[in-house]
Amino acid sequence: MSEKKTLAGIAKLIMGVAGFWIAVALVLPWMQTLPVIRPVMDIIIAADLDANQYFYTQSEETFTAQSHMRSGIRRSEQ
Amino acid sequence: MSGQSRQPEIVVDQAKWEWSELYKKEDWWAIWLGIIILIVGLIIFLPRPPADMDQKIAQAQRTMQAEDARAPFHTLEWHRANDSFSGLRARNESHGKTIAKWLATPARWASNPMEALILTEARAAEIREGAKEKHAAAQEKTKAALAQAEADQAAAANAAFQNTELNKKAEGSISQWRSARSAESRARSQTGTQAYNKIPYLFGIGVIFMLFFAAGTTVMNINTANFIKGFGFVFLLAIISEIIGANSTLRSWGFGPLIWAILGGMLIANTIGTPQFIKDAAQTEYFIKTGLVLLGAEILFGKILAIGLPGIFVAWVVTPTVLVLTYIFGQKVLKMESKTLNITVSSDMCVCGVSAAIATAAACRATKEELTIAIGMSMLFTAIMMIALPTFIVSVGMHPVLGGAWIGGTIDSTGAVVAAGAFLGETGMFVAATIKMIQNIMIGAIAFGVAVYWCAKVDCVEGQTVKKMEIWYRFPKFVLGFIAASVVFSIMIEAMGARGDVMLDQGVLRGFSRPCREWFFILAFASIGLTSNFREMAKHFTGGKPVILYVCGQSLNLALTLLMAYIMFFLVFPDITASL
Repeated sequence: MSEKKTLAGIAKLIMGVAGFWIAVALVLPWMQTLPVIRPVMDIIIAADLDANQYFYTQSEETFTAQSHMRSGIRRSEQ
Repeated sequence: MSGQSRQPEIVVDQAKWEWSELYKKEDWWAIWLGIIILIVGLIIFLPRPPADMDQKIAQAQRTMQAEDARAPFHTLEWHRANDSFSGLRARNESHGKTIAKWLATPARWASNPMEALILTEARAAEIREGAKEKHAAAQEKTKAALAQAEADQAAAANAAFQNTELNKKAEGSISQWRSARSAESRARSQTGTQAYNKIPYLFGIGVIFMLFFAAGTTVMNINTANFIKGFGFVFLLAIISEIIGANSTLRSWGFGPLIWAILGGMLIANTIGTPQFIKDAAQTEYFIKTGLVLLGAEILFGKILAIGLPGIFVAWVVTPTVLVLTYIFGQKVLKMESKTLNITVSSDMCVCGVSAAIATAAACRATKEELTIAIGMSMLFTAIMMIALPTFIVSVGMHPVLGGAWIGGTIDSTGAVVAAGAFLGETGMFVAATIKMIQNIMIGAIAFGVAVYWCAKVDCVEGQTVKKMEIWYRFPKFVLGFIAASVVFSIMIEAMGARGDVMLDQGVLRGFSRPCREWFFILAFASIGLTSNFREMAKHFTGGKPVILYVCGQSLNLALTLLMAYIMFFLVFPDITASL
């Protein structure tokens, strides 16, 4: 790669990182304050929930939910 | 070993069987490595149960069954018994905690990213001091809520639990006590904040994973020297992505480390370029398939019984119906050029987002760019739906069981489902989480079905009849390991009963194989980013077809899931709904 191309690549990389930073540090926190979004975010933050989890074994809530549901079904059968 | 070990865009199996495949192909290496991890997990956890486990399980089960028979709601005694059962976890034993320390990803942070790796004693003391007052206030709240709950439950019990008003009041007070107790527990954990330095553990686990995967490269067509040299960079990118994804704002939005690994890798690859020796270490298929074999062990069929027939109908009837219809829509109406992109997007949209996309893409041999598109759209739409769906449900006054089932059946990822369900209260969250869990179990069946369909119908000349043996030759073999792990662990956990939950679910799986699997996936996604091309990806977006497919499929999913949930929970099984 020529020096010119390398410099252009580095400049693009810095711009990309800056774009990510703006999204993470400015745009998303601002969006959390919007009236439509805030109530849901308040609950997520207060309950310390992790919306990142993409499979049920990552979530303790699914384990707890399982016994609650089984008990509910058991009661409906009685 | 060849120096010409450029990673192929897709895995191409030869249409014949050779025994050497068992040690030369990454599909089989993924199976062997997955099996090794699962066996090691069993050896570590099974001989070391928590003290008095059987007695504690029996006591908790007796109490819960007695309370189920005594009252029409979950009493204080039921919750205490359930908490004591849930607290029994093989991974909470000393060996489990040691493993957790080694396999842990960077910690959560809010304003200082360095806290993801190092927390000084001074800062830990500051957090502990700041949490003391909060904890004391939370303790007072819990005490008051418990006193109220005890009084209301006693009043309901005096009426022999026959007075609906009193039952409802007691149930509400107990629910408030539970919330106060959770808040207290969170405050208490902050008062115990300890200093840490994760760097030595991350370095150690990086070296272990490098040697673990390098073993396979010595016999596969991968340059081992380059793999060892480049692995450090791939692992470093994975750690940086984990640090970004551990930011509290991003966690709340559901933008996890996987998407940052892809974006970070792509940014490097498409600006300064990825050097060849790093490309040799960026073995996407190898990491993903090993991770998928481990994911198979987490697909436990007994879980589908958790919410009975209504849940099974919502998750197991609507999901495959929407999957097939969306795929047909993509082929016949949108005329999508790539069938693999079509099925990957369809499956991630209607099964369970990222994990379904990974499994389906590997089963049909989609390209890295196609998997990236599917996952990127899934994360974006999940964040939107996580806000929009619960807001709509509450604003129209929908029943929490119906709302929870709707959320669980339509939002892509488990974390977002729990977050959205929490907006509806405890019942809504539990229904949503359970439906999602049942839907997650479908990944195995979907991946197997897609693999067979692709071998028999798609990967052949039009009109050609494929012989049974040809299907075997073309079949992605790692799927066998994925299915076998699922079947073996499902049988084991059912045979062990409640002990299985403690020793396997809360031990081998959540304590060992899952954290390993998460590392393998993040390595795979860093590799995808490092070897992806923006131009290739842009081609797939011509005419916005993937977005149209996602939006149309999700609209159908929303309509059918709501209809099926209403029919099942309100018309066919209203008794179950009343008891939840």
